[in-house]
Amino acid sequence: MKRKKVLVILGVLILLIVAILLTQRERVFYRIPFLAPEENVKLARLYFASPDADYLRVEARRILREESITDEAKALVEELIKGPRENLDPTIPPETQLRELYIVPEEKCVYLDFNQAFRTNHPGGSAGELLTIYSLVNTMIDNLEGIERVQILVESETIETLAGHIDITKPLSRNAPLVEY
Amino acid sequence: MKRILRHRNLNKFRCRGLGGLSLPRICFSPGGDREAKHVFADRQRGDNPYGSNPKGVILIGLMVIALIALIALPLLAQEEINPVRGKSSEATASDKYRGTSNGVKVIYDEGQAEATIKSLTFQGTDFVYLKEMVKLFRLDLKWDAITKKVTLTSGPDQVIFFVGSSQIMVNDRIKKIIQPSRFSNGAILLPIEFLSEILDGVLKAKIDWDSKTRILKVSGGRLNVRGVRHFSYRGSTRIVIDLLRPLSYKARKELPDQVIIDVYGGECNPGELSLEINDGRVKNIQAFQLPNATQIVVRLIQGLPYKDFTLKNPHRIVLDINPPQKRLDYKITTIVIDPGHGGKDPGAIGRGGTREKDVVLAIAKELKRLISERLGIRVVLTRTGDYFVPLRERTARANNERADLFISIHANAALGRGRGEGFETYFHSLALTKEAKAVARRENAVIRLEKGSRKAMSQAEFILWDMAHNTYLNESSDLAILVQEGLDKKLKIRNRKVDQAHFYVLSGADMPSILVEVAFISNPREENMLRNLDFQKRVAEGLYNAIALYKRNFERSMGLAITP
Repeated sequence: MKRKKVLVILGVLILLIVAILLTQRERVFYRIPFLAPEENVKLARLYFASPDADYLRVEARRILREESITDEAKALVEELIKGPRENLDPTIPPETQLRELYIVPEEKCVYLDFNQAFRTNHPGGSAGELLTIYSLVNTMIDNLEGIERVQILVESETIETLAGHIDITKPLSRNAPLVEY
Repeated sequence: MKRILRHRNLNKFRCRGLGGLSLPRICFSPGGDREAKHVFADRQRGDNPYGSNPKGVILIGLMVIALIALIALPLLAQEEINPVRGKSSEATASDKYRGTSNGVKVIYDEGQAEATIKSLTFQGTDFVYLKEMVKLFRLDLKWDAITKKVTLTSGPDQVIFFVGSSQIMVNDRIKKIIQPSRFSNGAILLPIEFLSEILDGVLKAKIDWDSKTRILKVSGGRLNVRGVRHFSYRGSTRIVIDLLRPLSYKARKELPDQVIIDVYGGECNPGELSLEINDGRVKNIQAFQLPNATQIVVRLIQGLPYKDFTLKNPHRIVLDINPPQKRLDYKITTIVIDPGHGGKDPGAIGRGGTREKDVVLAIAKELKRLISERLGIRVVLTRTGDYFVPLRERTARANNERADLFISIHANAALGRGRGEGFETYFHSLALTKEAKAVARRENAVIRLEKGSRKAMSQAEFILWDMAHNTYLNESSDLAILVQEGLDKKLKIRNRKVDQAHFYVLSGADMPSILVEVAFISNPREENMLRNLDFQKRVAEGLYNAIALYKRNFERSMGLAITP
């Protein structure tokens, strides 16, 4: 009898602990690494335009570390849309919204899907277009591990150009000559 | 999604966890081997060894649980859903959405073959199992559980989508679909409408779904003539016909302006293979499905010569229109000037309201006047008024006119405080990605093996071919430098730089081509200058001087080359 009781208690205990562990699983497996606050922050390299529109320059900015690379990429684009804090010029029209972002690891490519405002509110000009496109491309490639190419989309479609100059029908790689260190 | 995943894991875990109850025999190892034997022996005798020390038993029990938890949880975290291991319809009863299961009859090629597959209805939409579709259409499936990415391939064609996302990528093009794919008990379900996009992309098949009779008609799913591509190079055009497997063919010229290719045993979707090209040599391509062959008609603009041969991996028939031969004209006789933007596209707009399209048109007209008056050669404008001309048409026009130079005139702009200033000149750079370079190399290298023979091209032939496939990089950069110098002598604003970038408008040009940004319209000071007629004239003068110098240098160097 006693043995049976003990077994029942054991069984109930096991079930209880399993249940607790399961409900807490997310916390156990995902939260622990982020307990330390300084590890919650990452230093991002954001590319903005130099005031004379000649080059891209890096602004280092502390951003929250995200759980997935996709969320991190989204956060980076949002920071670029917010514009620079230092004495640099923005590269993306402020009305721009990122509709969707996805990453294809085998292609080492990130797809950025913007709304129409990205295109219609862009001032145009070869210099302006190059700065806009490569501020996105370089920021993505520099900050995201395993990403080597960036494809820009507007309303889910590939477009020929942003405002009539630079060909963005295909994924683009990092542009080093445009960067001033 | 996460919820379903967790739900599945819970089931599995519970099985393992409860299974653990029968484990004490194995798990008392903390107590040591001797004790183990002792307990085992006591049990067999019918005594109750636990009764003597219940606290110890509970302790051991807790340790067991901890051990199980430690082992099982990391395993759980790695647990993935296998999409191919779909569950049968009775399992779906437990699904929260309660899909009703049904059958779908699939009929191929007007009743030549039939099959029945399972389907599920969720909230009025019919879904089929991905694994069944993959089997049925013999597709290759790749599944990435972390990103939930599905890759379906058949030959050279590929469809990529993420389960639950309403976007799919068909051969590198993004498409939007109304109803996304979804999970049900770990199996991936595709809406029937979604199928047509997938099958259209990878199999070039057409789908016809009748929801009343529940019949899915598939036609042309096994097309062996898959597609037609074209590459416009300087002086020549390459047309590539993609085949699923090697097929015999014959190319012939019936009329001076058309080449007919019969692909024997070919099956195609004629609409997919027909193309408008209009690159100055080839007008269009039309495909016809004959009873036992696919016929592809290539319409040429002039009676140009052609060459045909086959290539492997993937199998394809290649037709080169006007394959490169010795160039005879050593003179610059036609110049195309391209005033940027126009019509619905105003280009950049200054703070004072000055529109790029107006300013550049005025400069282009002035430049045309200068060139035709002083050099006496033909000048063509891609637009003469305020109307829209697509980028591709601008270079196609230059190619059709057999122009020797292409000069695109623009005004610059940038976001921000409008401090950008000065003039700059760009020339086209080749594709930037490694992949694009590899494709270019593949398409170029094969010319060495004409008609499948192993005979290499002669060195001279190869150099000529290579030249034809390199855009006029050297010439374009020479011209860009001269233009920048020419403007520097005439304008008092900042001389920025000569640079390279992959301009859409320059990529189609079959001649040396540049794009000049004469000043920053987004900078109020320079906007005022751009409005000034005198400034416009000085820009035109600067451009004219550069072109005249380029022409003189070019013709002199060519003259030296032919008469030693």
